[in-house]
Amino acid sequence: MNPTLPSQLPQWQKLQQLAQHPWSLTQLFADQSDRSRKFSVTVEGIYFDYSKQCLDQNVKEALIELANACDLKQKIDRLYQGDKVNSSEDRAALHTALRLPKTAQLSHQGVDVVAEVHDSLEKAAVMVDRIRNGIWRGYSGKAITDVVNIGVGGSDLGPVMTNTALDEWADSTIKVHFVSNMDGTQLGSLLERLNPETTLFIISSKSFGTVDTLSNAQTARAWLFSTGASQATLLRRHFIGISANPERVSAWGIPEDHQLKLWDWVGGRFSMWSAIGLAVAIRIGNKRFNEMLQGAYAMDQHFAQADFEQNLPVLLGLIGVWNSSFLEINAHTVLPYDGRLKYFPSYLTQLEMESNGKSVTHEGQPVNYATCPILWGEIGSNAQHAFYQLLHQGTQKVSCDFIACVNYYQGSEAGELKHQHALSLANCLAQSRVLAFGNDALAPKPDQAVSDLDKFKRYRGNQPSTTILLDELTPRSFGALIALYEHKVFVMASIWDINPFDQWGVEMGKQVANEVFAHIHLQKSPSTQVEATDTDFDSSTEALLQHINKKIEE
Amino acid sequence: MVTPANTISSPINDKDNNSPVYKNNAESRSAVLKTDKHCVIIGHSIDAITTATVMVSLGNQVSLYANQEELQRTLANYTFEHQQQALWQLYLNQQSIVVQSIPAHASDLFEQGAANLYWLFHSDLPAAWQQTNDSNRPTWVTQLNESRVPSQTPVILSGIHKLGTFAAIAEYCQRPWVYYVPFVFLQDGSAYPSMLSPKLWLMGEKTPDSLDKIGVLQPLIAQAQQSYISDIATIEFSRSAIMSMLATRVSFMNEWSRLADQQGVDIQEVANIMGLDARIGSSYLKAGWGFGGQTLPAEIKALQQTLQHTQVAHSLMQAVSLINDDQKELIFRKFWQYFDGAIEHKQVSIWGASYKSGSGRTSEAAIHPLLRLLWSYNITTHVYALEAESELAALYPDQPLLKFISTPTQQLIDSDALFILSWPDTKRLPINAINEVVVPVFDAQNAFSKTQIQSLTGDYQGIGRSK
Repeated sequence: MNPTLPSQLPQWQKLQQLAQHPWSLTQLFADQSDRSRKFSVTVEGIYFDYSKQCLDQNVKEALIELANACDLKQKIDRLYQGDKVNSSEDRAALHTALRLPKTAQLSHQGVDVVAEVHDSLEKAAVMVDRIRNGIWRGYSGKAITDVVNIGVGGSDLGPVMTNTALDEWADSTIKVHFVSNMDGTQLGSLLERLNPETTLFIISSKSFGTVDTLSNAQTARAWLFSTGASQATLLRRHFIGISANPERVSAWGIPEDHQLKLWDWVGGRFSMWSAIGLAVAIRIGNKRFNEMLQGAYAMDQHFAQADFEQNLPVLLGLIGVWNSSFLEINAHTVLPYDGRLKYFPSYLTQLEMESNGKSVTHEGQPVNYATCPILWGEIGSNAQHAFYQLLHQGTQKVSCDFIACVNYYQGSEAGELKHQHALSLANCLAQSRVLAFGNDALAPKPDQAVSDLDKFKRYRGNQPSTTILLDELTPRSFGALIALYEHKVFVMASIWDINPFDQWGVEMGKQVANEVFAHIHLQKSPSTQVEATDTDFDSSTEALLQHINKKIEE
Repeated sequence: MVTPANTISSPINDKDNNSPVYKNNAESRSAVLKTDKHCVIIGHSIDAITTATVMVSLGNQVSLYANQEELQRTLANYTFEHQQQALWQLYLNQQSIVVQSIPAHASDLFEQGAANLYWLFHSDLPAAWQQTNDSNRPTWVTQLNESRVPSQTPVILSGIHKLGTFAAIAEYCQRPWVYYVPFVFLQDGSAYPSMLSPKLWLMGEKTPDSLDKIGVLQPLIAQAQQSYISDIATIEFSRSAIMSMLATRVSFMNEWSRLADQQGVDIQEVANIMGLDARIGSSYLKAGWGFGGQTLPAEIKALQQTLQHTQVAHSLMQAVSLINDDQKELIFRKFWQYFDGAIEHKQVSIWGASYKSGSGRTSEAAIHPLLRLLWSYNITTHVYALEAESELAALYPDQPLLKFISTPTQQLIDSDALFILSWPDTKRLPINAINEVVVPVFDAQNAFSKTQIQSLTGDYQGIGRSK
């Protein structure tokens, strides 16, 4: 009889025993001079060094044994072939199909997925070309100069991150803006600067029912309608809808030929490879966008085919499980030493925490081990002046991912910038070294006097980290990097036996918000009017509502 | 000595076509040695060809060194220059003009050193000639300095480049008699007479008061309505300022045309009134689709290249350029608005394609952005542009939506709209034919008079004017 929880597996218990070992990174490096060679892998222009993790060959082997015991290989196969791995929603999770080449074959529920995906991508590519070439015109016949992507969560974080990361490939004068906030702050200030004649809105929402997105879309529509131009023309010339729910998009007013398709088998946070990436493609062009897909596809192939011992996503995921579930490290920080990856940590907060912030198995059984750690991050050099103090001298154990690009500023006129880049790389390596070895990272000078301040200068060390070096940041390597983390999430979920593709935890808040909204005495537009029902709120919520309504009425 | 590899050795004397008559080396040398008024002209543009013709008319023997393909292209593109073409053919037949391939190395040309004058059209020089060394000196200058060309032989430079380019080149030339002649006088459609009797002759000289060293140009200066001689940098600057002022006037009127649209005023009438003010004058006040051709756009581009390396603010010239670019598609937007964007799969007639009526050139003309936009909406375009037809056909050989028509009204009955881009002032607009089909007119040239607009039974939209 199969154990109901992975923690009951003997392989899990073996790891629990190994975790009792007093792991010391200083000792591990002292014991094994070629440790960096043994605990590093290079794939797709990515050098992956996990030698500064608190593990040895035994742990690595035990983790792989656990992965095998958890049927990881079979789970990867099931993921790729479109099995319903999203058990609670009875759906496949086929984001890997979004980057399959046109020649690949995959059918899902009798539908040729590859053909569907490429039809959608080609339709998007035509739109991209028309917008970039000044063919797409606004209601007055002027070419589009500004594109506003309205979306939230996966319809926002992925495109925002990618747009920033690949900005140096942006070869269009068209400006792309992103709006996600429900409160209208972003959109309000943006609309003041934009010209309705030349502004195109992309409304991205898988369900086309997300209140955050639709409230912004409605404001945008009202802004355009205030021009006095024909409403049909405005809807036709100024909106593109991206959704898995075409009926709702049509009902909202966007004509069918300006709709792009999503599928229920793509999770929002895994969707940036689809038409959701339209805003990115507008900036960098279809060719570069396709290169990004090719990079992700290369990582998909590696994930599916490489032995676990050399498999980047598997190793990254297993290390995550080791740190969280066995070494009880409940915090993980991502530290890119590259300004282009500014939004990568924010993107990962959703990808990892919304995916793996779960506490029940596929069968609904509560787990008895820690799953996804709290994840945050920041550009490394900025974080050095913010929260590194805690990493170095706080009381929390924190695991870290350092990410940097080896080559940058390749242009011959970038002398000073190259110098800055080298400085950034040096800081990246130095910080991982100090975190690993503490005071031992710096050899004491023989005649150094002991000071009263020394007790405050103590660096504990032994904070585990992985360093990921990209040869250079290109659309292709960036695609591979993102796919690496997507698969890392899947590996961790596979070991923990949790479903990384649902997000029930965000649903209840939406329901309660609807109830509360009805009790706020603000003048509302007819379409947002909700009849207040008799609801017993807790005394705190009651008091807060009373305070708000009193202030509004004043 | 010109190497055999650099000359065309097949003398063709075909009187039935306009092909240049090429001479082999021995023949060309014997031809040029017959006279002591021998000019070497280097270039293939209409400026260079016109200069060759004019110089022969002034009694000189001309050796024209040119990129043969480019030369053929220029001749083909300027068939509308009837006088120029006729004289060109005549002088070729008389061997007063001898065309030779431009050698790969300037030294091969200068080696001969037998001419009495060298006239270089700088934009036409091969890239290898223009390549600069560490001190920013073009290769051809170095090779001229090292050649057997006597230091007393005058050198004339022409072309449009960044400010100061020709003054610097003149300084690099180790010879006193270097001159710069900007072709501000040349008019499309009348290239030959406009050079022979220029309205404005400007000339920069490296050595002050050295006009007597180029007596060969005296007739042109004497014929000029206005002339001015100064140092080369001043003449370059003046050339750029003149052209930029003209461009500014055009963009000014085009910007005001939009206000005129909004106010319901006819900008054409306003331009006429403005022209009555002697302080302003009437030239370059016509609103339309903007300026095109080669000279004004090249001048604005050269100015931008000059300015981008300086800290000098140049928002006015940037605006001139932006307005001009935008103006070229303004008529499309009027068409778009007329049909509320529902323009897919329509058919339109377009009258004229060249950058100005009478010319066969479409360089920087509104026809290109207009066609591109119309085709992108699957609109069939029936183009009546006899002079520019061959150029358009060569540019868009595989475009199924491009149809040429031999008479303007040929496809009017099937057209949803009529665009006017370039209609000759001297030719009557077929108003009756337009009225028969009641097709809306989009007049980007403002070719219609006020009376003609009123006589239209259908709708009319011009630039800064409507019915």
